[in-house]
Amino acid sequence: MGYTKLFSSKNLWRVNFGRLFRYCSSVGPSECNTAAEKKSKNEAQDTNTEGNKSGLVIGVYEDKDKFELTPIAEEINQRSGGKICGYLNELSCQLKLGKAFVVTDVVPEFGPVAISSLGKKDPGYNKLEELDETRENVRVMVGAGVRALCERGCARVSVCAAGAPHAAAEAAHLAAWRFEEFKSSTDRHQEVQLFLHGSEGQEEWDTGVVYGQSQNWARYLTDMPPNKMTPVDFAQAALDTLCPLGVHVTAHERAWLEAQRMHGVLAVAAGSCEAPLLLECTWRGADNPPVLLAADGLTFDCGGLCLRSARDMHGARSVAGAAVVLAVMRTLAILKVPLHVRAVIPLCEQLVSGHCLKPGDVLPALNGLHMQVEDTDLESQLLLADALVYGQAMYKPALVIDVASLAPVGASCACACVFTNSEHVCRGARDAGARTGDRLWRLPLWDYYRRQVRDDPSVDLRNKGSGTATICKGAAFLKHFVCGEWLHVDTSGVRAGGAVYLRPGRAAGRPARTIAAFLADTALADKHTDSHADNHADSPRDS
Amino acid sequence: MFHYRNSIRCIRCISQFKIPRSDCVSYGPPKRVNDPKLCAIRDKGLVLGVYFNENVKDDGAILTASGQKYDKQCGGKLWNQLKLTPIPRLGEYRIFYDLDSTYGYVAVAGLGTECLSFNTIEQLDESKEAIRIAAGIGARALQKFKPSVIHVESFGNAEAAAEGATLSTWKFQEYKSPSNKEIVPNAEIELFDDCDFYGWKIGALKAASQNLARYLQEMPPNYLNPTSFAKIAVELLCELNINVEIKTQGWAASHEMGGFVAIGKSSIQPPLYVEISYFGADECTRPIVLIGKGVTFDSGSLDLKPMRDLMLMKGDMAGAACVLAITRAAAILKLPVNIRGILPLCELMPSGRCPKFGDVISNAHGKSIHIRVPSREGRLLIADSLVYARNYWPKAILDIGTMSKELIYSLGGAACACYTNSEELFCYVSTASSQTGDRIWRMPLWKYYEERIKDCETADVANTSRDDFGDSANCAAFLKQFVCDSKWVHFDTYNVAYTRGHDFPYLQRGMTGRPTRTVIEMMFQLLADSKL
Repeated sequence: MGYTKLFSSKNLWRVNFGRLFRYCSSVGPSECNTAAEKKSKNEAQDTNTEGNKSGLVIGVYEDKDKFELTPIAEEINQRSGGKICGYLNELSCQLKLGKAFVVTDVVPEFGPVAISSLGKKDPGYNKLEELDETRENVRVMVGAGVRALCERGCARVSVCAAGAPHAAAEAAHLAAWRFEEFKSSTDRHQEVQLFLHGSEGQEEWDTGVVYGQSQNWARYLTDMPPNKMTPVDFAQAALDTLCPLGVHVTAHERAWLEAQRMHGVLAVAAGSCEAPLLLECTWRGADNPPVLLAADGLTFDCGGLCLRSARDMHGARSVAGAAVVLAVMRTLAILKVPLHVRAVIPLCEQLVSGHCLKPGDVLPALNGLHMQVEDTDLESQLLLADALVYGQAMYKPALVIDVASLAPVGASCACACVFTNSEHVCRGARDAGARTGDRLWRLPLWDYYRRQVRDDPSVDLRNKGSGTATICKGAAFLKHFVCGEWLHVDTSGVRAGGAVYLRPGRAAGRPARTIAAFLADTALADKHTDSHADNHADSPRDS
Repeated sequence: MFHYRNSIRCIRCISQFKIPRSDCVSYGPPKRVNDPKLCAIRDKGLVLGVYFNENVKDDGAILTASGQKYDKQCGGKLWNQLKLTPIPRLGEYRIFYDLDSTYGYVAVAGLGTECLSFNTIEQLDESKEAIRIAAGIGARALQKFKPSVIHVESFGNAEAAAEGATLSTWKFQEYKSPSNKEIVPNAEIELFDDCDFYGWKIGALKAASQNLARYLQEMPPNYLNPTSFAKIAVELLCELNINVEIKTQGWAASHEMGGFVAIGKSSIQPPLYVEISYFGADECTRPIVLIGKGVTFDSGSLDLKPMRDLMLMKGDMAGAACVLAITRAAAILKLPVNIRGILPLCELMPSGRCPKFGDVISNAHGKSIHIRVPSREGRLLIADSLVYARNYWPKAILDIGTMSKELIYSLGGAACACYTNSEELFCYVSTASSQTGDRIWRMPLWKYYEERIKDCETADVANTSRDDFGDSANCAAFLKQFVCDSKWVHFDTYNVAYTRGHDFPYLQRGMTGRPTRTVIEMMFQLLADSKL
C-alpha cells in the first residue's frame, strides 16, 4: 500500500511563496532575476555614487619584490593619479597570496578599495597540485578582498575579475556568505551585493554566481541547527527552492518506505520521533539515461547506541552529503544543463531511544544481501545501500554518483576522497576539481577492503568489518549495491573550512561545485558525441 | 660486558641470511641420487595447483600443467582424490598422502580462474598474486609436517611462486630454545618441473630480502640497538663488496645534523650514522640514494606512546631494514646501478636529554625546525639525511620510514603511502608495485599541507601541524622542504609494517618487511630508463 505525496511544482510555488524567503534567505530572491535585471542594477549602482558603502576589489600580481597591476587596477590607478602605485610602494613586501589590505580615498565612486594579491602572473595548471592555479589564485585574491571589505561593512562590492570572472564570482559569493539565520535583526550584518567591475565576461560571472550561490545554499542547509532542519524541513527547503526552477521534487513518507521494504532507512530512523522521508528530485534537461545522485541525509546523527562524544556530535554536520546533492541539482537546473539527473536522498534522524538500532541487528537490503550492524555510528552506509539499489532499479542510470561521509570523524580538510570503478569518470571528476579548486583525491577501491567487510560466517556484509581503514571499507561496502559506472565521494574531511574564501569553522558545502562542474562537462561531452542518438526515454515515475 | 655478549649472539643468529662461501655455482637444481626403493623416509612435500572457474558449466576445474604431469605419474590417483571434495578455490588447499613413491604428501592449492590478468582498478597483476597465494598457502600447509624439502611447481611464473613460498614459510623463532617442539625448521624450497631457474632465484632472493627486513624488525630492541644493527650491516654487506661507513654522533654534529643529534642523545645507546655504498656501475653514474629511518626503539620520548603502540615499536627501524635488504639484494643480483644507502640509527627514549616540546633545532639546510611534537622524530632524521644526500648528486632519492599512525585509519594494511615530486618516478613505483603485489598508493603532496607546517611562529617549519589530521601528508610536506631539486619518493610505511596475519595469506602474523620487494623490482625498472 504505497502512499505518496506528490507536489507539483506549480502548486507549490503558489502555496509556499511566503515561506520561500524564510527558508532560503541566504539564496535570496535575486536568484530568479535575469541577467538583464542585474545589469541594470549594476549600472544604476555605478551612477549612484553612494561613496563609503560600496567597495572595490582589485588584484596585483606579485613576483618576489615586484608588483604588477592588472589592467583594471592600472585603469583605476591612472584615474586616481597613481595613488595605488603609491600605496604599493610604501608597502614593504608583505602582500602575499591570500592577503589583502584596504585603502580609501582612491576614486570617487568607491569608498574602500581592497588591494589583494594574485600571486605570480599566470602560473597555469600545476600537475603536482592537480590544480589550475591561475583560477585558484583569482579565487584566493577575490576571497581575501571581499572578506576584507565585508569586515568593513561594505554593502556593495565590485570585483575586478583578473581574467577569470567565473572563478571570481564563485569566490566572491562564497567569501561574502555568513550564516546569520538566528541572529536577531540588530546584530545581523547587512547582506552584501556583489558585482563584476567592468562589463567584460558578464556571462561567465553569472554562471559563477550560480555555482557560488548553490554552494552557499548547501552550506546553509548543513549549518542549520538540527531542530530547525528536521527531515520534513529539509524536504520542504528542497521543494521551495528547486520546484520553481523546474525540478520535479517528490517526498515519500514512512508508509511508502515500508511498502518498498527499505529496512535500512527505517531501522536508522527508528530511534527518532521524526519520520523518515525519501526525497526524489528529477531534472530532465535531456532524455538520455539519467545520472543517479544519491546521498545520505541524516539531519542529526548522535551515533545511535554507539554514542558519539559531545565534541564529535556537535560538529557532525551529517546532512552535508544531501545538501551537496541538492546544490548540484540547483546549479544544473538554473544553468539549464542538458542532462537527465535523478537524485535519491533518504532523510532521517538518528537518535537513541527504546527502539533504536542496536549493534548486532541484521537488516535485509533491497538486493537481498543481509547487512549486520556492528557499529551504529556507521549508519550512512545502510541508508545509501537502500537509496542506491532503489535508484538503480528504478531509473537504470548511466552513471551513479553518491556523496556521503562514511567516517564518523573527519580526516584532513584538503580534499574530498573519491572511489570509483571507472578510470575515465575518475579523470573527469579530478579535472573538474582542478578547475573549481575543490579537489578530489582517489583512494583504493580494492578487494582487500571487500574481504574485510565480508569476513563473517553468519551474514553477507558487516557495516564495520575487521580492518581499520573506515573510509575504504565503507566504499567497499557500497560497492556491493552498485553495478555500472560509479563514483563515490566521501566528504568526511571537508565538512568545514579548507580555503581562504571559505569561512573557517563554518560548513563548507564541498564539493558541490566540483560535482556540478563534472556533470556539466559530461552533458557537454554527451552533446558532442551522440547529438543524433535516439533517446530512449524511460517514462517519469510519479507513483 | 652485557651488551657485547648480546651483540655477539644476534650476529650468530643472522647466519641464516649469510651467503655460503663456495666456488661452486649451480645452474640448475641440485642433482641427487634417486632410488625409489631406498626412500624409506619420505619427508618430501610437493605443492601443485588447480584452476577452478566457477563460470564454466560442467567442470570448471583443471590441474596446472605440472599437476597433470604428476597426476599421470601417479596413475590418476591425484585427480580421483581431488574430485571427491569440492575443488579448492583461491586461498584453499587440500593435502593428499602417499600418492607416489617420491613424495610423502602433496598439497594442491587453488589458483582461482585461469583468466586472471592485470586489473586496473586493483592496480595489481592478479595472476601473479594468485600464484603467490597458492604457493604460499601450499608450502605453509606442508611445513607443519616438518619436511626436509618442499618442491613447489612454478604455476606458470616461477618468480611469483618462489616469492610466495619463501615468504609464507618464514617465521621468526630465534629466541625459542632449540629443544622447543614448536620450532618448525626452515625447509628447503625447490622448484619442481620447470626450467625457469633464473626467475625462481630472483623471486627467492626478493622474498629472502624481505625476510631479512622482517628479521631485523622482529629483533628485540635490547638486542638490536644502533651498534648491533651497524655490526649486522658490516657482517652482511661487506662480504658482498658493499662499503659500510659508520659514523658517530660527533661526526653528525659537525655536519650540522641537528635532528639526528637531538634524537640520538635521548638514549644511552650511542646513535650511529651508517652509510652503505654499492658500486655496480661505473663511477660516472649518478647514484640512487636510499634513506631508511632507523629508530631501533621509538618510545615517543616525552609524548610517550600508549602500551599497544609501544609493543610494536621494536619494528620502527623498518625503513633502515628495508634499505639494508634492498642494497644487499641489488649487490647479489649485481645490478648495474650505484646505490648509496643512508641509515640514521638511533633510539628514542624519555630521559633527561630527550627532545622536548617546543625545542628548536637547525640543520645543514639552514631552516630552523620547531619540534612541536617530539614523538614525530623520524622526519627529523630523514630531513637531515635528505640534506646530506645532496653531496652525492643523486639520480633519485627514495626514503622509507614508519612516519604517521594516521595511515592505519586511512589506508589500512593494503598499501603504503607514496609521496613524490616526479611523475615518472611514480610510474615506475606504481608498475613495480603492481608486479610484486606489495602495493603503494599515491597521496597528495600539496601546498595546502606545506602551509600547515610552515604555520609556526618560533621557527621556519614545524615538524607537524597544529591540526590532528593529515599527519602523514604533513610529514611529506615537511620533508619536501629539505629536498632541493632531486627527484624524490617518500614511502610512509607505518600502516604496513605490522600485520595480524589476515592481510596476505603469504605473510604470517608479525612484522612484514614491506615494501622491500617493490623497491627491488623498481630498481629493475629503473635500469631500463637511461634518461633518469
